[in-house]
Amino acid sequence: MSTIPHRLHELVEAGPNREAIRLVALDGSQTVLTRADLLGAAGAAAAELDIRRGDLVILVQQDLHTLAATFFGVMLAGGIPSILPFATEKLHPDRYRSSMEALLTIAQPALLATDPEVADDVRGLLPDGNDLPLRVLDRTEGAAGVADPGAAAEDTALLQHSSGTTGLQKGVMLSHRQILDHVAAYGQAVDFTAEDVIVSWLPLYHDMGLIAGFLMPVLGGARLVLMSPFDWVRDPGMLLRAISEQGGTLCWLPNFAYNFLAGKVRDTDGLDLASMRAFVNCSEPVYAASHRQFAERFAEQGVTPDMLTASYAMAETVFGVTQSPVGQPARTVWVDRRSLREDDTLVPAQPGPASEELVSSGPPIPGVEVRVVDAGFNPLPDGRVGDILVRSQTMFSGYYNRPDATSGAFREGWYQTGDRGCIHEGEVIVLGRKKDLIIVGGKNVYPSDLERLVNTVEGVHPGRAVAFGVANPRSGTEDVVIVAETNTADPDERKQIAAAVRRAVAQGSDVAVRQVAVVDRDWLIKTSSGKISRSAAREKWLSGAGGS
Amino acid sequence: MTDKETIIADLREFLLDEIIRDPDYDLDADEPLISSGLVDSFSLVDVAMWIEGTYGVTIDNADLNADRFDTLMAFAEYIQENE
Repeated sequence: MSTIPHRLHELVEAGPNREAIRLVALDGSQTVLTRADLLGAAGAAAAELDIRRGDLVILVQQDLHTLAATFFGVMLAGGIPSILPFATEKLHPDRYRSSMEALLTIAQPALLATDPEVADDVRGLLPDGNDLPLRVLDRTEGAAGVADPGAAAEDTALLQHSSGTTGLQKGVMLSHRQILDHVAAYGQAVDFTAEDVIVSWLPLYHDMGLIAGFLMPVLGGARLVLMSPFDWVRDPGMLLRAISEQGGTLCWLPNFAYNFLAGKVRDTDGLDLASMRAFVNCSEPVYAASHRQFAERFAEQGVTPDMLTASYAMAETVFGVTQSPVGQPARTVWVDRRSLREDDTLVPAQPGPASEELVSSGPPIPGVEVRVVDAGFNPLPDGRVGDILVRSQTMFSGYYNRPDATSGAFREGWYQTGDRGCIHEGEVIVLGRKKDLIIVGGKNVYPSDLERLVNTVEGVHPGRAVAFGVANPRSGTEDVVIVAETNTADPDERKQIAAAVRRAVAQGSDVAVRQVAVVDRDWLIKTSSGKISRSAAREKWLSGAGGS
Repeated sequence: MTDKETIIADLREFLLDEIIRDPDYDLDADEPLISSGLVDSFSLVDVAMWIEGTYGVTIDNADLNADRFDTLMAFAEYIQENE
């Protein structure tokens, strides 16, 4: 059996000078790492790290060369890398520190690796009194290397965390075998070969960026053209220029990026996107309108509707669960809205105001089974909406140091995704993500994390605030809405409270609030169990009661 | 040349209506926009495009960050200098 380091060595033996990663920067400069360069840089990083087999190493690095080298370097030394985002300029240091604290307590890492650009920030953000060693690496290169630690295929290769206080408490453990098997299986679903050119701006601390936008191309011996998400938001067109210049063939994007690119790329002179085989829409709800807008905007540059595919994925299955076939547009179906919302049933209907257009995420990929069940865990027939269960040959090994969370995630051998959806003509249609989860720009946001922040705001009645997401068709993603109860009726005071809520959420989380409603006591609705219902608040707010 | 107060007022109206979506918000000309999280990085491109469409002033993508433009005032001064 093979491990990821074995695969890297094989690739170097087969073609040391083949291009592995091309890093593209905002100023247009490019850095090319051949397979031999990458392995050399990783070996040098491994030597600098000085870790033991099984050590967990947290990576907080901004420079992509250093990050790629450190990531594989930790593996070469037998350690377990986990990539975390670094603090953005708006995040309050205390918040970053407290989410790090939760992570450090549960995961007990051996080391934190950073780079010169963010080292000072990272040092200042570690919780007080911790003794976690910090190592600063800087674009390592060479062939120093380390002795083979003798890792086995079933050893944990890496941990994936999602963001926020809640996400950082559950590290998804993936073994070498699971990852190698998964990139093979998912690769089959997108007809991936070593001739592909993957172009990506996705962050590597997120499953889509790490697996589809990094490990699959690198381990599959294809070319990867990679840019920083921070550069890309400033200049979204750089993604399209990279596709055009490098002959890109595959690109993964969350739904909002289709709207973002279609609306914001100004200069399309000389762009040729006809080399693309597929864009894959994944990691937030897929809107048919976003695909249409994108295809129309870039039709002259060679984008055709049959390039626009969709996928349903999660870190627990390494990445992909489903993938719509490459070479044809993701299927859509118009259904009766009332039957869908009230009876949880898909009833095909004519397009019109009483119907809704759903986008299919395609059939399960090889090695994956999907089942939809009712509240009593009974399998549902096609067209009936229920809870989505997944079984996969590359299912994760568990949450790191969290056997409680791991056993709670499975039932009768099925992983309970918490997502809602249905099967339609052999394909999976996802209708709602994990209970109350908000997805903004492909990023998972737990409402409880935001509510905790809102509850600290003076004037908000403690425990009487909810956060929820509302679809915004213009941006192609969800807007965060906060509704908070207060005792004051004074309009000026309420304005102050709303402003303070915005600040608290902005500085304490990854997202900005789009709308804040400061409302009277007892505006929020409790469920029969006495808890405030987010979904009821959302319905009430959408029905126009937000201002009262 | 458009005077600074007018630019600030117009830009404020655009931000409150289109980005912050709260016409009642008291947005001070010196209030941090990006580093405070009031405006997220995805919306910065919108701001730049609006400025280009309204004043014909282009902001280089590399300059589009909180270090360079974090307040209404910073945008307004740049617009005035480059209009």
